[in-house]
This record gives sequence, structure tokens and C-alpha cells, in this order.
Amino acid sequence: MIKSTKTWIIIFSVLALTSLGCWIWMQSVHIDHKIAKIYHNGECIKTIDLNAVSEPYEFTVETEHGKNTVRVEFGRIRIVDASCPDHICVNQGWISDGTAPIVCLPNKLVIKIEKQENELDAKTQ
Amino acid sequence: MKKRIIFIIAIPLLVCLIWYLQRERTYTSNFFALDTSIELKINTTSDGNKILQKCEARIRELENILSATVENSDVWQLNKNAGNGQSIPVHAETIYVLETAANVSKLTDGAFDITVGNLVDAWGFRTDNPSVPSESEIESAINLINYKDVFVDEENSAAKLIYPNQKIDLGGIAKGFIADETVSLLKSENINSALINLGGNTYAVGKRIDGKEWTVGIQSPIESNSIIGKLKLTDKAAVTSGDYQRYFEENGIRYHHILNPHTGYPAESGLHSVTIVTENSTLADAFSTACFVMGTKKSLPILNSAGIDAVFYDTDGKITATDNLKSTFETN
Repeated sequence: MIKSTKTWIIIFSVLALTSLGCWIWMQSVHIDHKIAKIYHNGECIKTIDLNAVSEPYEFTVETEHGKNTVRVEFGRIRIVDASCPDHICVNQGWISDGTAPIVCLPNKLVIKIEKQENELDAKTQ
Repeated sequence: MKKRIIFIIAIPLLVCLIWYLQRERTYTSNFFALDTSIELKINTTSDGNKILQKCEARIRELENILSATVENSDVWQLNKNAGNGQSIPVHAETIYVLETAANVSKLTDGAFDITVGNLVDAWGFRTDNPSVPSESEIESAINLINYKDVFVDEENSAAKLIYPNQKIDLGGIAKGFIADETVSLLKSENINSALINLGGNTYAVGKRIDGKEWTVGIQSPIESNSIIGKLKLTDKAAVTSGDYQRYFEENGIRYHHILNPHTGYPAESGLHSVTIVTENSTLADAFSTACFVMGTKKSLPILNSAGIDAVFYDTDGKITATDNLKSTFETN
């Protein structure tokens, strides 16, 4: 009887500790990352963790639809130059949350930041 | 004893595994169609990717029926055969859109009118180089605007434009209708939680995966990364028309893309934007254009009698929301 109780205690302790570990790990994943994804024609072509950026940098996305130069800084991202005629994507400036993506319609390019807790699900515009 | 322990551990693990495999998951898809960027998000226990593929196919199918620029679409055929007296066979979807458009035109005294095709072309808002047309160009385009000239034969699923050179443009209603059709498709696939975003035309189906209402922000017309307020939505569309969405400058004057069918010029009703909130996204889309053209004062009684809600943002920065939105709209 005593042996059986001990076994149960061990089983539940292991389960409880594993759950606690998973929970802490999931929380840390949520808080520490702000992921920006760059899509061309609906396909994700690049993923950037904006909270892991130590030095700002720029790079150019070149596709059959055109060119967009992207600037990345800690916690935010924008398009600084583009081959599109309207430059709406450049004029939108920085985005730092998942509310509204940067969309370059002529070049079929979208930059989105994955939504975090307490943010909007979408924006009507 | 060992066997018993393995059994005791295995059962909860198996339950967890079944729960994990059967749980509701979020699936999203992003693509370009309808001249905009589209995002669909659904929560389901079944194969979400397959359902999203069906949605994308349906959206593209409807675009091929309702776009004025797609060769042989219903709208392209109607425009091409304008004034030749013959009714053109069209899809049931086109009939519905034409009839709904006519109803909104009637209710708003022509503030919304799909026969603005020539006027839209004259301003060049669908091109890379829009410019102010001459007075005579505007006048001849206005002369061809009259929603009553769209003849719809529901029984034979056919339609025609009465006068030669008349041209319809469903840019102010088609996206709303396509959102409604996407909702119908999702419901037929037993999806009760989804968010449809057709380039800012949004539809919230049911509630979020966490059981809360969907939160949709209303874009600020002044600052590109700000909102003027938040809407809590369940089974409702939110569609916005604003002077900041598409515009150009000529000789220091800014011209936006929402044209007043009566004057032929961009509407000046004292509004920066208007957001319509209602269950029917087709109506939301058409009314957002109409209300932007009419302004707050003229729109409110029409919306009240139609049971449609709205948020107006005027050029002085004043926000006016209809009474029903008091509990679901929150300003920033």
C-alpha cells in the first residue's frame, strides 16, 4: 500500500514538473520573440526575429514583380525604397505590431509581424 | 506492478495525444486577388488548409465573374454590349450584386451608383497615372451615369445596359459580396470561427479561438500606423471608405478616389472616413461608399431606417458612432 502511494506521488510529481516546465517555456517563447515574415505572392520568403536585431540593417527583395529595400531595426521593420510606381509601401513607414501589414501591391510583397496577445485581429481601412 | 504503472501512464498520455490531434487549430492563408492583399484565418478541427484552398478558388472564381477588366467576365460582357438592346446571360451572383446595388442607389438617391465606369476611367484611378480630367470629359462621363439604366431580368438570369458606352464598375460592392460568399462557403464547411480580410474589408465569423469577440481596428486617416478606435465583432462585416486609401496630388491639390456620381469630382462631404458595421457585407461595402459621398447628416437617418451601424470620422477629427455601437466600439 505504502509502495503504491509512493509510486503515485512520483508519477504526479513528474507530470506536474513537466507541465510547469512546458508552461514556462511557452511563456518565454511568447514574450521574447517578435517575428516579421516577408511574403512574395502569398509565399513566405523570409522570417526575421525583430527582438534579436542588435544592429540595424537593410536588404533588398528582388522578384519578377520588382524590388523592395527593407530596413530592419530592433522591434520594427519598414520598406525604405521600392520600384513600384505608387510608393504606398514606403510611405507607410515602420510597423512594430501585427495590426496591419505593409503591402506593396504592384510588387506583390507583404511584410507582417505575427500577432501578439491583446492586439487587434485585423484593421478595416 | 510494472505493467500496471505503464498502463496508468499510458492512458492519460493517450488521452492527451487524442486531445492534441483533435484540438481546434488556426489556419491562415495570404494571397493577392481582387487587386488587393487577402488574408483568411479559420479555426477548425478538420483540414483547414483544404478549406482555405476552396475559399481562395471561390474568390478567384467570383473575381473572374465580376471584374470589369477580366475579359469575358459578366461585367466585361455587359459593358461591351451596352446599348445594343440585347440582354446578356449572366451568373446568379451577378444578378444579386446588380439588384443589391440598385437598392442601395435608390435608398441613397444615387450617391452610390455602379454606372460610374466612365468617370472612374476618366480620372484614371485604376492606372498608375491618375490625373484630373477636363470639364467636358467629366460632363460626358456624368451623362452616362444612371443606375436606372441597368436592366436586370432575374427570371432569365440576364442583364443589359440601356445606352451605348455606358459602363458599370463594381469596385464599390464586389469585395463586400465576395466576403459574404466566402462566409457562406465557410459555414457550409462547418467553420464557426474565422476572420476574412479582403484588403481592409473585414468579416468576423463567430468568435476567436479563445472565445472572445474579434477585435477590428479602424484605420486612422491621418497616421498610417494608428487607429481611431476598436470594434468588437461577432458575425459582422466592417468595411471602411476613406479619402486616404487612394489619391494623387496635382498642382498642390489632393484628389482622392471616392467620386461623387452627381458632381463627377471626389466627394467632399466633410468626412475623412466612414466604417459600416452590419451582417451583410455586400450592403456594408456599398453603403460605405454612399455614406462617404453623402456625409454624416444625410447618412444617419438612412442607416437608422435600414438598421445598419456606422462610425464616421469627419475632417475636424470628430467621431460619430450610431447608438447600437455604443457597447462594441471604443475610441482610442
